[in-house]
Amino acid sequence: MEHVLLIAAGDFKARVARYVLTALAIGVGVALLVALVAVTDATRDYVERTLYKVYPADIMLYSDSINIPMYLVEELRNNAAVETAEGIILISGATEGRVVSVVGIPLRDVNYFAVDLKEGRLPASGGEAVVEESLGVKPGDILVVKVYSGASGVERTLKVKVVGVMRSFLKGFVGAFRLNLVVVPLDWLQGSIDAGPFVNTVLITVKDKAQVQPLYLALKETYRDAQVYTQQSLLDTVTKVFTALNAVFSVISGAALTAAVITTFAVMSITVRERLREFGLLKAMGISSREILLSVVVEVALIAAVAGVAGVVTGFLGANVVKDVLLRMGINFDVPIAFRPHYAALGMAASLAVALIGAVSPMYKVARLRPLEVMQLWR
Amino acid sequence: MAVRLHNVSKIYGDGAARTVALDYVSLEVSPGEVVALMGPSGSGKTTMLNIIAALDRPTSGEVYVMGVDVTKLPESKLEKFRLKNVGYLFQSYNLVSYLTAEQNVALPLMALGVKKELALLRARVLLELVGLEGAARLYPHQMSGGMQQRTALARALAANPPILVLDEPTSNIDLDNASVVLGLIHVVNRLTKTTVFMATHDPDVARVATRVVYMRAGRVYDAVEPPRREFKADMERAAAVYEKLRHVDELIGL
Ligand SMILES: Nc1ncnc2c1ncn2[C@@H]1O[C@H](COP(=O)(O)OP(=O)(O)OP(=O)(O)O)[C@@H](O)[C@H]1O
Ligand SMILES: [Mg+2]
Repeated sequence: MEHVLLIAAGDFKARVARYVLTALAIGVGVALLVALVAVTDATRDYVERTLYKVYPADIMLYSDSINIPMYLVEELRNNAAVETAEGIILISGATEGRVVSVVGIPLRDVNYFAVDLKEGRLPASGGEAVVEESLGVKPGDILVVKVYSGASGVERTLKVKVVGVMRSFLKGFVGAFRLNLVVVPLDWLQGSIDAGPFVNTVLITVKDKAQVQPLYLALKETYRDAQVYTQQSLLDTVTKVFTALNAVFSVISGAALTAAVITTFAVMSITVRERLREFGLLKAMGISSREILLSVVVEVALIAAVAGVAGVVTGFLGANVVKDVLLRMGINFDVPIAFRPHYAALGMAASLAVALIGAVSPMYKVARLRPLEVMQLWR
Repeated sequence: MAVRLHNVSKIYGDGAARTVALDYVSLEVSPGEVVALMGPSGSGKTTMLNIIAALDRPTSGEVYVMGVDVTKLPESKLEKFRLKNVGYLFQSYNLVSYLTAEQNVALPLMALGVKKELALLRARVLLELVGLEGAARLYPHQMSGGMQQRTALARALAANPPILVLDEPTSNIDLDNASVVLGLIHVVNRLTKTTVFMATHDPDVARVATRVVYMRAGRVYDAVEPPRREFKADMERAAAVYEKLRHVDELIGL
């Protein structure tokens, strides 16, 4: 087989410029593919993890009005399947033209929500609040928030003293997810809006994940007025969004890879036509069509390997560069992009597939060579 | 018999384009003969050589090369057969452009499974035989046409084939190189009993032939045996190189 490599290496050197260009075309497609997959994966991961922080619960019970009695929360805690049950109030409001989410949390359970304090402290008594950094206020500021949800359904004005600022859960990287949280003690909020001993949201964690589904069904049956979500159903929504995103990205990288297939086809067709005379000579010497074909396959595989490695590396680094550029442009896309082994596998497979699909018809021509048909060409 | 053609016809095209390139040709050639094929352009010389070299198949008839009917061999077997039995030299364009002289010569040996180093070793001795020991590392574009043709002759000899097929080997090169090539054909034939087929327009080239066959419109006419002119060639030098080759071949096991 040494002579096959000798032929492959010789031709490769002779046409190195065009083969490098072919590898470049394939590499661009592979890089795009890897970059888009890496960005999608990273973003999805980040959103999923953050979602669990925002709703640290396996099941969430939510009602449009504040009508879930606290004793029901107590009752849920006694349920054998339930690990924890936390009743909170989650309402929206506005301050200085901005939409905020006001959250009432029992003071003793503030830590349950893994608040990531940036400065200041957690609220210790009524009227104190921890707010999300996205609101741009400092500890000591007074915040006036109008809320619309209450037992009476009328507008109320809350005046809170900011005692702490917390990091944003989603770091605000997607505008729509900006929550602008204002976290206050639950009993103070209940008093301020005349809600009485009621909440509108119950966050439940279970002892065993296998109990999520039965408990979810039981809750749906029991609280017909409330909406019941599981963490999984929220994740499913996220997954649906990312599946759509993936489809769009697939079309983009698919177009680049198709262009690479066409480039490979054109280059290999021209090359094979140029080399027909040489192939005829090799055949007259006694080199078989199979060996000539093999030498072409070796070259195509080499092109694919170079393109694959370069594509995977630049795709991954490129994703990070794009992230940095976005960050520098002020777009808060601060998502860690991790390298995963399957990106390399995906990139190499895509590269090999593109090269082989592009080269298959020119290679078929080589395999069919009869020495004389070829010799006729240079009479 | 080294080569036996029996009622061989080759017809190209049909209808108005129908050309009879070989017309019921029969020919028997013994080992060690040097056959010069002469005749006007289009008389069928190249067609005949291609068929003898098993590069082309006749329309009808039988072609025995070293006792094997090559018309019955499948393409896959023909490749190996050519490699072992026939050294072919075209009029021009005989070398792979991206390989050096020694790589070009070594290629058929490597295709036979000879290790690269040994194949290159034999290639260099063969280049010495054709007087190009200093050109082993040159690429074809760095050599004159005559040097290229001599390298190609070394390549045709690479696998020690019993039959050499040369299509106008000297028509594209200068007189000096032509005379070197003819001398080589002569000494190789004398030292190894290689059977040689050679198409040529040049009556002078026929000097190295033991037999001249005239072709006209696809038919062959054996000439009266030409007086074999003793060719002035350095037999001693060639014999010394062949001695070297024999040592290399012991290493290779060729
Ligand atoms: N592939 C082909 N298709 C059609 N006709 C062909 C083909 N090859 C050869 N011929 C015809 O067959 C005849 C013999 O051609 P060939 O090449 O054998 O002649 P030649 O004696 O070698 O001529 P020259 O001295 O010019 O090389 C010619 O009439 C030629 O036109
Ligand atoms: Mg001819």
